Amino acid sequence: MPPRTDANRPCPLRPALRYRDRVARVLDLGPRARLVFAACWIVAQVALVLTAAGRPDGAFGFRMFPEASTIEIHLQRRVGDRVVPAPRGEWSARDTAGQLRHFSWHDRVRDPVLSVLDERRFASYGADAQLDRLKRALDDVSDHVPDDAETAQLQADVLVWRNGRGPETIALLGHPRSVP
Amino acid sequence: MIGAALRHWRDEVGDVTALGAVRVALGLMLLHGAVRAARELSAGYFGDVFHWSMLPEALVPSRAVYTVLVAALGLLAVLVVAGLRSREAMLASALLGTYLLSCDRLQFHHNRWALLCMALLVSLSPCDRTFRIGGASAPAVGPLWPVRLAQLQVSIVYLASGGSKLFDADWRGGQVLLERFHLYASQAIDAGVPAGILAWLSHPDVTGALAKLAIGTELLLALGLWLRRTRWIALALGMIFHGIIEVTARVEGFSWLMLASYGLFFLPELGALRARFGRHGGPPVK
Repeated sequence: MPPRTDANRPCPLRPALRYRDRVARVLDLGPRARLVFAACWIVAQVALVLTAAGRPDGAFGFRMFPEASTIEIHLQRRVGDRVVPAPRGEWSARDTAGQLRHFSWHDRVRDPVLSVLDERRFASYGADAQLDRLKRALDDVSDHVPDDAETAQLQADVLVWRNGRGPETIALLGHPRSVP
Repeated sequence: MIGAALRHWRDEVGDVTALGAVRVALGLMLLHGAVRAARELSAGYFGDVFHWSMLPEALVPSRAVYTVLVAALGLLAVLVVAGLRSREAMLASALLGTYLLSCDRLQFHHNRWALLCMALLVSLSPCDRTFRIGGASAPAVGPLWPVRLAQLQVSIVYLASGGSKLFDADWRGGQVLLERFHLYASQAIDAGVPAGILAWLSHPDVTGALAKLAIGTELLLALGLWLRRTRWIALALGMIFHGIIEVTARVEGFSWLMLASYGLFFLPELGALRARFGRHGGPPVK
């Protein structure tokens, strides 16, 4: 270890920076950092805004009140070669032991739009945003009913009124489940 | 010329007395957000049910960690409001809030994202020198580059919102407003709005004109707040615009956020007002 010299000794006139001062120095950007930060910020914001149309919910794009669309979701199940309704998102099915069990869409889906079934509902952030979320919700619920040994696939028939026009019917499918 | 303009933007200093008021307003909104998150948590943890994380699922906090983070958000917001380590608290709030927002896209709202953006930008400004508990206020002159960037953010919000409506034929033509009036007419009547007014508003010609007015207002606000001649007109227009939004739609704290952000465009005027009526009178020290 080299011997300590005067150059290594703390200067008595410049006491070590306190924590608060150190943090303040990080927040008080220097001249070059200001330009770099501002350039990155503006580029990122502009990129997020310009690419918002590519995201169904327009996230990070500041698209306020994009639509006045409504949707009505009807949940169904594919059991064998039949499609049976699941009114209000409730259904009963047998497990692998043959025991009859009750299942509910609402056990997993609490979102204020997607949790309302068989009723017309305002589609926040637009119909496409809600359809995209609904597809994911179908997959999620499909993955979280392991005791349902009957339902091969969940399906949602959605009536969509885009800004008052329609309705058009769109069928969304959850991913297939392996059932005995 | 561009170099000179950039240097001016980078090195500009000015009266930042009123930045403290903007900080307090943002802090209150952050606190409101933390309280809302705590209330929602008491009804159930989002991670236990269907959610949509923008991050890998492994990065979504557990219930216990999320509880701690929500409490931290509340504490940070209190520090922001009180002016205690407020810049650090505001930066931490913005980063933590963005992380939590990324953990569930179902909870994403433009107003929440806008608030986090503004909090981050304002944390880079000397917003901790006034409107704080304890300690004398420091000289109220400081760098303005973060303020200019935050002002630009306000314009980006208006431009993005107004621009997206302008390029949407349904919005531009009034169809979106017409349908909104149809959907919420009964609620408005229950709230005391005369049915005759609603019937008039629900005419396609009227909604078409209102849509163009709304788009024009947003685009005008994006520019008008910057110009000395139009700033006060833009302020009045913005207050009316957001007042109407506040009473006709549920937008959480969006209207309040934008109105608070207007303070960034009126720092000299607000600083003079505080010097005249506040405890720390006198001109700012250069």
